[in-house]
Amino acid sequence: MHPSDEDLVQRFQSGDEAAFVDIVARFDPAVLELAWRMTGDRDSGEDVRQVAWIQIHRGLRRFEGRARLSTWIHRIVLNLCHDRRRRHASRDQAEERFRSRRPADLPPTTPDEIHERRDLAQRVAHAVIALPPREREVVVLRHYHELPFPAIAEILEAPVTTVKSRMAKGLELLRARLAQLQGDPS
Amino acid sequence: MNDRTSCSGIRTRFPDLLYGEASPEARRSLAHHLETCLSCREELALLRSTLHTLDLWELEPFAGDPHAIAAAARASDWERPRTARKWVRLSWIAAAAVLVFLCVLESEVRVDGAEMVVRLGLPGRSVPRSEGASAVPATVLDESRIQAIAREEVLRHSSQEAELWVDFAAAQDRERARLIRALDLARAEDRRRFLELVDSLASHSVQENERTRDALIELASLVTTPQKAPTAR
Repeated sequence: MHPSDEDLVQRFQSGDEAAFVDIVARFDPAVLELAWRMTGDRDSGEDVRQVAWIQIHRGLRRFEGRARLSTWIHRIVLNLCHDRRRRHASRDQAEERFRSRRPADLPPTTPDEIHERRDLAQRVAHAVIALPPREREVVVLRHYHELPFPAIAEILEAPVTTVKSRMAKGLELLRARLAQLQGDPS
Repeated sequence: MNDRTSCSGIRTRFPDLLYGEASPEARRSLAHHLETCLSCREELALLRSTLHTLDLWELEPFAGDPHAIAAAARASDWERPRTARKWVRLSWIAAAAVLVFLCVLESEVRVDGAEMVVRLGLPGRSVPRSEGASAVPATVLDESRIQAIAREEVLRHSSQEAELWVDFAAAQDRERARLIRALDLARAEDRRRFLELVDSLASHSVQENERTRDALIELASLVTTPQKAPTAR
């Protein structure tokens, strides 16, 4: 039986460092994926992931459980992503880095199909990354992390209606940006 | 023809519908509208297609060794001595602000042609103030000059302080803006507001450490001690 998040936190706060390894094992995939999708490239995502785990390790000693552990961790990652965006890179630079990177690793089919799928994936990613940050985080959390709107609202400390409004706006922007892609398969 | 609900209002509820979070009542209401509104039906169909397209963005496979990640986090956390953490840096920034303030107390500020001249002096070496200096907008204060002078002052005390001041130069805009504001207030001799700002800078950095708080209180008392107090307010 898997220990609950609360049990792991309690064990860690009692001095059991092994509990932190379990927390990492439980949440690291979500941490990296969120950082990756928010920053737009793997290298930046891994940078954020590294700092996030340092902050989590440090903050966990004082974690009081007012929010769920997952909510708290998501918040830390998102804040780091926003800080990074503000401090280090304009959106254009992030997009440029993204363009220079290899797109998604896709199952091998014919060379043409591989090329086409990679191109599509890259263009979709580009459209998501180009969203305004507030809309992007909601789209990433809802669509790719499959979190329900109330959970997203808790992470962002915003009303659910605001979250849904951002999602509607984000989808509308994506629909417009991807329309050409959907209508033009080439 | 639409029902009484506007299309724009309906469309804000599409995310609920698309992700299966609409209540049965909301679904009925939306369905009723969609039956009669071709435009919204088309929009919804396009959004569904958009969601499928979003799925094309797959990430490369990745994995991390939890033991290695945890060890790296622990090492990075522990290798930094407590005294080097951010709240201590901020407390030193506040201390630096006090030092700079002490210099600014005896400052001369004047506009020489297109250039603004800031001359700072140590307490006890009085320098006449040019009239109307406080009317110079804060935005024209030469920040790099202030930092250079502050760095000189800080260097007199310890290299660690100098290092922290350099850290400050790279700190977030908010802290920088607050210190510059503090300097400007000091130049305008508004001691009360200056001290409030220093307190504010220090407060979130010293909540966890009484020793640092005591040090800042002591530093603040240097400013509040009426030795050569500027104009009282």
